[in-house]
Amino acid sequence: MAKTSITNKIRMLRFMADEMTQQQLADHVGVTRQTIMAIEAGRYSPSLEVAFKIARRFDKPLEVVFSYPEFER
Amino acid sequence: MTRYEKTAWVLALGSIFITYYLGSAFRLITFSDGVITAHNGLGYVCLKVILIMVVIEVAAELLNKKAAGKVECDERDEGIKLRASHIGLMFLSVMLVGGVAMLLLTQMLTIRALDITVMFALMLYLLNITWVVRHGAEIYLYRFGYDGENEHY
Repeated sequence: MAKTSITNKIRMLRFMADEMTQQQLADHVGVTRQTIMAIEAGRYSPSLEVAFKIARRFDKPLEVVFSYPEFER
Repeated sequence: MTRYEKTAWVLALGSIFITYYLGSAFRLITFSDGVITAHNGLGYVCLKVILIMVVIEVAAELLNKKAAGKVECDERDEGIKLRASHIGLMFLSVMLVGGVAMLLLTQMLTIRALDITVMFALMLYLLNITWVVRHGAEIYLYRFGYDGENEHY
């Protein structure tokens, strides 16, 4: 199964946000639950728009939610 | 499973059934003295196949109807549809070129003429195989392969 090089902390952030469900996050962002599931598992890289929406939902900057390890120091 | 994935399953299974049905009708084709002709039944089978294709497409569309207040299709679904269509198109173009080359080659060897009904049935058959490949690719991408990288323009 293909994995993207972008990692994320969505699962942890959901847990910290009153154990928000994948469906609740999906409804807020405007995607399907399956897409949130794929993003969380690192199987799908979302568009910038979706990435910003997810970050905004948790009131965090984009780079806290998503990271690209190759370019990290 | 999203609604779009369910639709892909319906269309893939429908296309496999149609391809098998049309393929089994090729026994109506006869070859003699370098001329390929077909029994009258082949044209009738082609019409039936077109009707079945329309029915399956309508059934898939009904399945795809949006439920109120729910997101049914997002960027990932669109991306998968696009990539699967691309794979289907590539397959179709390769098969078309291959088919024409084969016709030319066989004409050089033994076949001198091809009945128009046979030609139509072959095109319909090719189209259905392409549909199987396209929807099969959709299912594969939904299940295993779609990472969305380099797809957002």
